[in-house]
Amino acid sequence: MNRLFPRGAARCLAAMYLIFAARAGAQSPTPIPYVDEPSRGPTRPSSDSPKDFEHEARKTEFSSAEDTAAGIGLELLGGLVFLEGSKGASAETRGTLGARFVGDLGRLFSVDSWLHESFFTDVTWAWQGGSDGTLGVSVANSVHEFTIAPALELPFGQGSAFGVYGQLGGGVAFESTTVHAASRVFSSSFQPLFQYGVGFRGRPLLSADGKLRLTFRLEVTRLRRSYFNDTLLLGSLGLAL
Amino acid sequence: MTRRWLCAAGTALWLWGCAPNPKAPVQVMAVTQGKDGLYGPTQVTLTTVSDIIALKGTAAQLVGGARIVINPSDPELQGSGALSAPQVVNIFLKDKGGDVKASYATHGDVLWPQDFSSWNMVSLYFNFEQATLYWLNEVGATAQDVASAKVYYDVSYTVPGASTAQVDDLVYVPAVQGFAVLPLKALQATPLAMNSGAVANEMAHRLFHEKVYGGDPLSSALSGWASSLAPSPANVLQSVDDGLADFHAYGASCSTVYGCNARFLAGSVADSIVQARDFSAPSACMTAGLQNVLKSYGFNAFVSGGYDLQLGTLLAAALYRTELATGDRRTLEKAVFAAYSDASAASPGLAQRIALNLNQPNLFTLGAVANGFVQHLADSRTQLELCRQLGDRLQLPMTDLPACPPGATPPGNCPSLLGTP
Repeated sequence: MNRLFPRGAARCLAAMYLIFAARAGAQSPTPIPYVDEPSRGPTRPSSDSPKDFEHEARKTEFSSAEDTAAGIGLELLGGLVFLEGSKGASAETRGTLGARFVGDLGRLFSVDSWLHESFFTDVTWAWQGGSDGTLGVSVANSVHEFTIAPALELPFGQGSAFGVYGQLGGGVAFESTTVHAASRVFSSSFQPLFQYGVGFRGRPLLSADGKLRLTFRLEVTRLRRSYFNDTLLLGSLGLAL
Repeated sequence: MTRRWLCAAGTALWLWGCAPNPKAPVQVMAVTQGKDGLYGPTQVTLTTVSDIIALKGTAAQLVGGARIVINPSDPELQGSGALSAPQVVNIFLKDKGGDVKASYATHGDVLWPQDFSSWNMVSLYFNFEQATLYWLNEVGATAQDVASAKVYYDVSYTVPGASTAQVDDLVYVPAVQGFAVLPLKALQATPLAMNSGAVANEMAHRLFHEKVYGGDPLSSALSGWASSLAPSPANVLQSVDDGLADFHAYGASCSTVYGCNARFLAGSVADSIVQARDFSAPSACMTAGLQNVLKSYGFNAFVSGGYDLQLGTLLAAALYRTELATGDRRTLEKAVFAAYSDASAASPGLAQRIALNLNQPNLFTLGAVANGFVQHLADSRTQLELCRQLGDRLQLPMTDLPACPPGATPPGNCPSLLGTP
């Protein structure tokens, strides 16, 4: 199963995160100066041409106003998961809990690009568990899902903090099963995951400096877990910097 | 270029996920009865399965999400023309359901079910496979006799007079020519699907229905006799079906790790039920009360009082005691099965005996049926012993068993009722 892991894709995502982290790290300790502030770092435009300087200053001002946030967030999530039933009938419904790290990878692109505010990536962990059977024979089952899913958001208007998004990703599920009968046995396995879904996202500002945002989402996500198709109705709440 | 395609194919497979699709024999974990009599996870080999996810093969075809409604007043049954068996089945089968989808993890060459239903279904399939092998290898049934039947798993099953669907049981339903594994609700013991004896018992009901009623979904002979007569020869017919199913379940248990087990339902149902159906108990004897009920009750009162199971247990006791005395279980099993259907005029089978007596049901008696079993035994020693045990456990006079050899006298382990008027 591990041999099927797309190492190329993973390397690509990892590289994007490294670039993103480096960029965020460079911004944070040395803020880009406003045009009417004295220079405090090496980012002052080097051109002597008044026209070029004015252009760079305007761009820097705009960029600075949009990018004061580091572009990272953390959310707690919960909801319902409808596991595709093994007995061929309706889905088995369970509760699910988890957390996700959100990286606004769109900031790797120019502020002029529509991707700047619309492209983000979730790194999610979600868990669900349950037990079924009789006192004589019962089976406890637990699934941990780890996914990485890039997403594209369509804001409700220019500069709106609300929008709808779609996402596509993948990951791995760790499933463990314990059978309680006359004897007790435990087994576990890793399974591939393919994720896709749509949702609504809000990111209203909480601080005047534009750095702290409240984030929340409502989403419908489908997971192809090995050869099973699960549907998740999720809500999440968190903070973004 | 090739490498790129391989990478793309590998990535696609990873994204899509692969279902295991091994060819039989398949190593899989199931819950079975161990040497100590307790049920626990064990590695077994499925030799007949062709689709391990949908659990289909020559032993059984599992179906999920079906709905069965047994309603003799169903308007679709009231049409003028005669209905074929598949048409009748379709009337009772309100929702045909679909494939089940067992969940597995692979560890080495062994598949491990991942959730309760998958464990239950795999164990169920294994038990059907074992029951099928018993009928093929021990009893002498043909592959056509035991051809894979549908097993409706976790089915919604409604019977006449019940306001809610049935639960906590495993039954053969002639009306849909399939097995029904009912949802678990109050049962807290080992699920019946995991109990090899329970599955073998239902398999025996199916073979009885196929051979004796010709697979007729409406069991016309039984229902015809059942509806109008008191006493009803259907009482005998139903009791014989129950008793033979218990005896065959016992026979099938002899191939298990645990060994021959007359109390095969133990661990899955209440002790009182196990006790009542324990045909190995020395006290399994005919009583005057049961004799009177058999001679006077109509079918519905007989069955709702559980007398069919009582009488069936006594027939199984006679067969069991015969086996103990002769040490030859297989000869007995084969002879009993041969007596289900036999077109010979000298020794008609049960099916033929029903047909011969449709209009004279008073001739279809417990003695006549028992005599048919004796007729189908070629081995004189076993024949003699069966006669003795039938006379003892069922208190049948030898005059009711004309096929018995002279000198067959009951061993006297049961109180004699033969003097009772």
